[in-house]
Amino acid sequence: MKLWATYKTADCRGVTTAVFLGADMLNEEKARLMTQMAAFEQRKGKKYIPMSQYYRKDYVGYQMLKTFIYSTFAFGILLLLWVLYKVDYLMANIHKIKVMDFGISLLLKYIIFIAAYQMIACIVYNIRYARGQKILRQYHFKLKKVMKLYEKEEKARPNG
Amino acid sequence: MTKVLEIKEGLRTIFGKFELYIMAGVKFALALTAFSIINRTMGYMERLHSISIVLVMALLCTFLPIHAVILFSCGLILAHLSALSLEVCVVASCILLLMFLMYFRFASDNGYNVVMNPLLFSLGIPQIMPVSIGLLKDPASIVSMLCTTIWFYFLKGIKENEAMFSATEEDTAAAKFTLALQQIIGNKELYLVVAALALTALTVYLIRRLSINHAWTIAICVGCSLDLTIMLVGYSVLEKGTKILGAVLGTLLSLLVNFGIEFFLYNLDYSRIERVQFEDDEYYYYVKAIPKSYVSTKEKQVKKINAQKRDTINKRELAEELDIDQDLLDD
Repeated sequence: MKLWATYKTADCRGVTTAVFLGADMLNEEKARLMTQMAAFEQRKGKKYIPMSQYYRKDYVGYQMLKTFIYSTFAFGILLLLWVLYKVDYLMANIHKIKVMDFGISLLLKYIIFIAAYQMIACIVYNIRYARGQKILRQYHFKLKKVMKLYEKEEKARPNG
Repeated sequence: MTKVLEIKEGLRTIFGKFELYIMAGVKFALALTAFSIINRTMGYMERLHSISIVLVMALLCTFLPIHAVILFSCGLILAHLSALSLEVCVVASCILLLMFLMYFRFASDNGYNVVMNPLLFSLGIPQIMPVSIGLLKDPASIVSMLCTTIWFYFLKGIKENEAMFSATEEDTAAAKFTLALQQIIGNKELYLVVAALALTALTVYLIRRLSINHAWTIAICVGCSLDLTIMLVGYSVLEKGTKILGAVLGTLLSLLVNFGIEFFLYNLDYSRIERVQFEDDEYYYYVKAIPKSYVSTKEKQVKKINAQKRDTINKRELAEELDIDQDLLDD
């Protein structure tokens, strides 16, 4: 027996599942759950399922480390743009600039920039992790339900 | 009204059935429009003017995610800018890299916003975007709209000063860098537009999330009014009176488009509100349920799969089908 099932999400985008083969009696609930899970894995699951491999601290820490590297590059680019903008002034006054003071001022700005960005990253990824865990809980609940349905089918199947 | 709702359900059904092809068509149309506008407005590199190059790139974008359109557009723009002036190309590359490092790695799901916003600016109707983002997206998406606005005004400034940038004297490199960056730093119109778009989008978002009747309608009206007010006041202060008519027409079009979005995505029947209360082990719930305006489509196909055909039918089944006593069928 073959069945093509089409599952419609709330915004009416259809997702066609694969073929269900073999069983004489189609378990509608199992088909419905598996279709919903397939749709989730195709769309939001790509973002949230990898998250489930980490604890919150590990996930947020890892993302903050990546953010630190990217924001350091971003600061470098901002510095370059500032130099390009002020190139005339710098060329004219380079002999007046106190290197130590300039270096300390730059370092302070770098620290403030990185600190601000790390705070934003911490908040964003904490929210993202919490949201992801809530969605994954529903996915795992459906997974457990499907496993229980499989166990029921196995028990109900006549021997031989 | 029923007829309109039926058309809406019909369109949703068609979209549900042919989503793959429709989205591919949309991506192709967006890519073709974007690349054509870039070639027409910038066009500093003659070799890229060929329609076949544009068509090939648009066809490629059809089969790739929407971010491919962004990548190809940025590549095309940088290629044109490199033909105009290396200094401008360096500044543009730095700005793009900065936007990617600081924002787009957080919010990679705003591809369509990033493509649509500059297109709407090119067409002179940017007022549609902040209201749509406020209705459909979250506040983080506002940043993508502002980044693309800054990018558009940067390119617009480059275009307006292309004579300066195409000068080939050696001692103008520093002046070119400064002038390129001044398109962002010293541009008062950019600050006005950024403020207007950000405030409008935020206001629409906050209002549409309120649990009041007709929240979306109120959000659209307030958002458009706020946007128009800020733009009118700003253009008067900056003495750019010629842009006021464009702002008014853009706002009217924004009202039309966003009411259309509300009709298709959030059409509720406020005359049948239900308020219920119930509890579970943890909470007591006060629920306000507003049904969607829905009309079922007339056509319905029932397809039986693996319906077992039987040549014979016994007396009991025939009696049940005819709803008569089985004894009557005995000979």
